Amino acid sequence: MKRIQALALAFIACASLAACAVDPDLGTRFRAERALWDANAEVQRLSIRPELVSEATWHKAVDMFSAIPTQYPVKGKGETATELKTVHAHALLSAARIYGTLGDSVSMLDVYARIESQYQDLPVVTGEVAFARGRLAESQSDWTGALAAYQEAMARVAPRSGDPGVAGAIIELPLRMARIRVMASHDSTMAARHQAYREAETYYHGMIAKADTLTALDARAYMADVAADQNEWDEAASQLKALEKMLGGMKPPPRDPASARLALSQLEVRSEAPADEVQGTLRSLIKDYPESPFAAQAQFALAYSYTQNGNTDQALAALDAVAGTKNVPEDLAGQALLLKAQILDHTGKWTDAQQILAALPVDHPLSEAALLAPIEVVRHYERAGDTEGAQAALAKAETAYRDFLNRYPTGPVSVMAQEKLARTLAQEKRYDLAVAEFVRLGEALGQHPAGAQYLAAAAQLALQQLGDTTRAAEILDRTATQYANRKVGQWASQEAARLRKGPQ
Amino acid sequence: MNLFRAAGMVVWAVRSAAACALRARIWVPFLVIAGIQILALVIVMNFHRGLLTPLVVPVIKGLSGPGVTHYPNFYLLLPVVFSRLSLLLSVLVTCIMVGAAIVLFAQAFGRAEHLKPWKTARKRYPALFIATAILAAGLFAVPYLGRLVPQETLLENSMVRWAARGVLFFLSILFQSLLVYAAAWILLRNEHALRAVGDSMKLTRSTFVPTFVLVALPAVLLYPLGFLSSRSDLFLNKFRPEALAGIILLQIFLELLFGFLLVGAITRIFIYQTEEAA
Repeated sequence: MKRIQALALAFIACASLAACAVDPDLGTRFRAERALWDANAEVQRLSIRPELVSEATWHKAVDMFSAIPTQYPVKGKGETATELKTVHAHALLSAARIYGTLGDSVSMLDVYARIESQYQDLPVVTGEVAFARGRLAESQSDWTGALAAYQEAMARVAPRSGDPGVAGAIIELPLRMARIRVMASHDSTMAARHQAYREAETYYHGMIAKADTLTALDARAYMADVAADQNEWDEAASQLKALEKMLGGMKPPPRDPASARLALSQLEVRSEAPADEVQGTLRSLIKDYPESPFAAQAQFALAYSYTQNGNTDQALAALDAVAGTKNVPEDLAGQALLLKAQILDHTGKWTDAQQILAALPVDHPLSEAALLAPIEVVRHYERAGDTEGAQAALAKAETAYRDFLNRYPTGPVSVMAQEKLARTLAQEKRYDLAVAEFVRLGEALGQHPAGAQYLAAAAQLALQQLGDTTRAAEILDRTATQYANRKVGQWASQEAARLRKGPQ
Repeated sequence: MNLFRAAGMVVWAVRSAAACALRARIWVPFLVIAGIQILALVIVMNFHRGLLTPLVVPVIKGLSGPGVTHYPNFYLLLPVVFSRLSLLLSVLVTCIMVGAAIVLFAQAFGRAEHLKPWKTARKRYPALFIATAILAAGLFAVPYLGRLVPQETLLENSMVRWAARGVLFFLSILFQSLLVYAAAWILLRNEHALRAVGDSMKLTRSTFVPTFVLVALPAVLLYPLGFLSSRSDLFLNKFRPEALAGIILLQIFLELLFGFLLVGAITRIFIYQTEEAA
């Protein structure tokens, strides 16, 4: 009996010691992390078909995130308490992101203000808020606000390449800020441009010298962009060559060294270097990195360059090489076939071109080129002055887009297909249907800026082609409701009012 | 021993164990083991609740590192935590239940009728503890042999990865086979721990194929579940992380059934080899 008592006392003593050692926030932090996971999973689920989700459901998701800090309060002061506060802040950031998606920038800024006041001791979180504020300001063309917010984000968060969070995005900011300064200054002289890029240059030079290898590699790539933006082509080329050399010396390289060579060829195109020089760089890439996925891209770029020079035989050979490469991305394979069809059409081999254009939607159904193929047929008949053929091709294009949308009703390629359908209908002069398609597309895109463009296009068609002022005003009203907190929404509201008043 | 005789012995031993399936008394130790494991799982899964936190957190941190207290890392590491905890429990507690089961099976086969199963197992606890500790230490060490293979080769080459898994799996079955008779020597022949371990190895050598097959069968049948729980990242992406607890519960249930057959069959072979064959 005494032995059992002694054992029980020893157990209680051990348990008490353990209780002192364990942080009081540990269990709460675990439950808060679980609640955040659940809320994120819910948002992911809703994001599969966002067009089917009501605003009330999104607000419920916001509530899930916003409730986390109050449901799981911080008790202690240790490391776990900081982790728990980070969970709170991330939950609020997610809530702000949903407000952003809903276009409710007022609530979004409220949440940001709450984070900034409550989590000042978490630099990564406040840095993320500053970064988000910068993006918002940039989208509203508030250049001064954007520059100040980005500067704050950079001061709070150290850059770390490859990081999926804000630390991974920080390294791009000096270049972005320099571009904003150029845009904001309205001074197109080279001296003003140099002035705008000076800070970025100093920053990237410092990064190349100091940072860990991955960040230094990224800094070199951005340094090339900085130089190219100032038309300092030799400096940009030398940075890209140094980048390729660094990548080539690493085992395994964090990025394909061929990417730097491809960037060099793009730089040459941008600097309007002679075609021979561009083609030489692309050929050297194909020779030096035959197994690289960038080799197929280089072949396509080479084909494009040959086409520009009128060298169709070599262009066709390069395009065949793209088709012969293993595991070519769907889009690149489609683009290569489309370019081949265009070359064949221009060289009078319409039957061969037609075969390729007919096969494209079958062989690469989800590529952009497959959606452009029916339009290419229409263009051929228009160029040939064959009105009947063009009309028939337009009808075929319409059927092709409708078939595609039946098979793939959602996704980014479907948005493209719907846009092409609307434009085809407009070209067929079936304006009523075209307006309906543009409206459907604009509404489906929710808060995306492109949605406003499609709604505006629908209003314009209704007004100019159908002469239906009431319908145009209605569409503009819908745009105003959909983009209530944005400039475009205000513009649409004013335009609708102007239309209703009639010509002054 | 030729292969036909070995196969015959496996079938005979398993049939003898299965014939005892309707004797409720023999199931009791296995049900107690399953109960202890379920209780341990429930306690571990509720480590974040007030009273349990100070007691369980040091244990789970000790078993799998400090990252275990984060969600959903906890569920990623739960299979490792639970397998190590089970091993620990088998040394500290459940070796008594296995001991009692061996005596109960021996009685069912008409031997050791004078022994009181639970009392005998409790009395021989120190020897059972040592023998089980040696087995547990071996099983704990086997996965670490995988570190001898360069990590890069393992990640890059799936053939090497599967070969390494196969070798480690074989070694753990071999090690269990060598020590599988130790508890029977301790309880039915009253040997001390180290001698029982030595004699178990000798007995395994003389009945290698049937013993190895008997130990390997449940291990092979449970392997898919073990593999599935080791790929817990799949659960995080496709289901809720908590689904891993369901896999572990299924594992406990199957171990209950396979454990019954294995202990029964091993006891039958032990009795045959030490008494009848002589």
